[in-house]
Amino acid sequence: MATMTEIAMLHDVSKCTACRGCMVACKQWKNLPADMTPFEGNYQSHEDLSPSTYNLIKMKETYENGNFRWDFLKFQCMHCGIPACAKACPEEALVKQANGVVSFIEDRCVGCGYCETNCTFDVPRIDAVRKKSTKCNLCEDRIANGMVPSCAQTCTADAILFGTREEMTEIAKARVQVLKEQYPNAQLYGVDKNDGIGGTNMMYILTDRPSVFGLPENPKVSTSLTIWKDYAQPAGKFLFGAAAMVVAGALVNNAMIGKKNKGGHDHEQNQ
Amino acid sequence: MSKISKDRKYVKRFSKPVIVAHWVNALAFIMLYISALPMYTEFFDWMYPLFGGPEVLRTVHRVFAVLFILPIFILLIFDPKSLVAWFKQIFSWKKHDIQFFGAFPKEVLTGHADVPKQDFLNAGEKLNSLLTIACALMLICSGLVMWFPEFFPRGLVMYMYPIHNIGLGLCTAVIIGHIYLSIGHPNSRPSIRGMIKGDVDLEYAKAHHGRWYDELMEEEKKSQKAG
Repeated sequence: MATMTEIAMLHDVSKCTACRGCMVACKQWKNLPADMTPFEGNYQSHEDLSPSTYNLIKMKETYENGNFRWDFLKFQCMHCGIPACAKACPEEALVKQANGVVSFIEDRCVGCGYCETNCTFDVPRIDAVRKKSTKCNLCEDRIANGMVPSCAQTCTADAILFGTREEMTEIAKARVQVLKEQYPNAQLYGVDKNDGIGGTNMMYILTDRPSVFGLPENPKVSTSLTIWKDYAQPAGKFLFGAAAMVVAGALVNNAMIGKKNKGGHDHEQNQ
Repeated sequence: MSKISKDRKYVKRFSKPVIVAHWVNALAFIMLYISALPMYTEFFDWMYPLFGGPEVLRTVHRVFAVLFILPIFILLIFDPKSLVAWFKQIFSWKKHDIQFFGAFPKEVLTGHADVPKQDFLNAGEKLNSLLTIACALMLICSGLVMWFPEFFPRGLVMYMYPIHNIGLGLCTAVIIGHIYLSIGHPNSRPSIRGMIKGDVDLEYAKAHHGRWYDELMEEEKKSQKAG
């Protein structure tokens, strides 16, 4: 089945014109209302993701060496190889699929917000009214039907590409070589599966270092989450078993004391 | 008023507010523990329907969390004297307290050991109190941050999850020991009467809390002289 091969989305920031057609397409397919925000004196439409905005074009304005420039980034769920959200979720509402998508099963979600707190990229947003988490699911319903995600479908600049992870990696590697002539810091993001989050299925071709675009340079699953899920919780489960053994041992001990000891409490020294 | 009953059989140990505070805390702990299980691991997911679903269970957990914090206020309002006395006891560590632990394993396993005379709280009870307070502080502080994450920085909230988790593990170990030594072990079983009726067998007090017994006798002498 086509969905079982690993897929990926690729955002080429060098081609992005920040038309924000992808944001509209996302709202349309997801049937999400518009977020009305005040004008802040810049071109950034919305400051941040919200429970009704899963996809946001970030427009960073930089003035450097007498030159002004914009850095655009399509900001959304990264669909991590090791998704911290799924690790933190106590209800298995976030699931890493074989095709790479981190899907969200809303019926299981109780809105506890552990995904929001623990996400490596600070992506999920809790809808306080519905008490549900929200995030991009890479239009997995469309993927399952052989279509591409609505944002990639609508992109006029070919800045958003979608396909198998293998294809996308090849395109990305070729493109970054070309870009390096003009942008010496040009690099790929999320492609390397050996990074702290096992690579991502939302990958980027960047013209500069990740931090310029507001992305962590060395993304990783947080230490607190590792302590919690990889050490504290298994240790607690082990303790649970150990406690049961102790109780059983105590009962045996009681029976033995009962036999050889009928009353009498001369066990404190009488000095 | 004398702490020892007229027939010289029982001696007053815990006040009414202390007993109420203890059992409110105990009930809250058990309910918090049970409602925590399905959140802790999917192994207990079958318990969700018993509470009316994951959302309701989380509300139940918070209700009992409030009940869990309540006892400290019961004591502060109705019996601050006992609270102060308790704190003085658990932070007083002398030679006889340390020696207690040398004899303790033998005492538990055989029922007979040479234990030096103990205070109102023996060294084991002191340790139990300290560990319980430490665990409760861990659970309450981390729990409040997890309940109201919007008031705290994200980096702090993230660490509260493992702390809550570790607090639960420690607390469970302490509580199992506490329950066994109060109602499980034949030698210490008479002590439970202190937390139910408020008094304990005078002979038990003499055998298990020699120093406290001596103090009681001193007080008796003094009050008799005064009378």
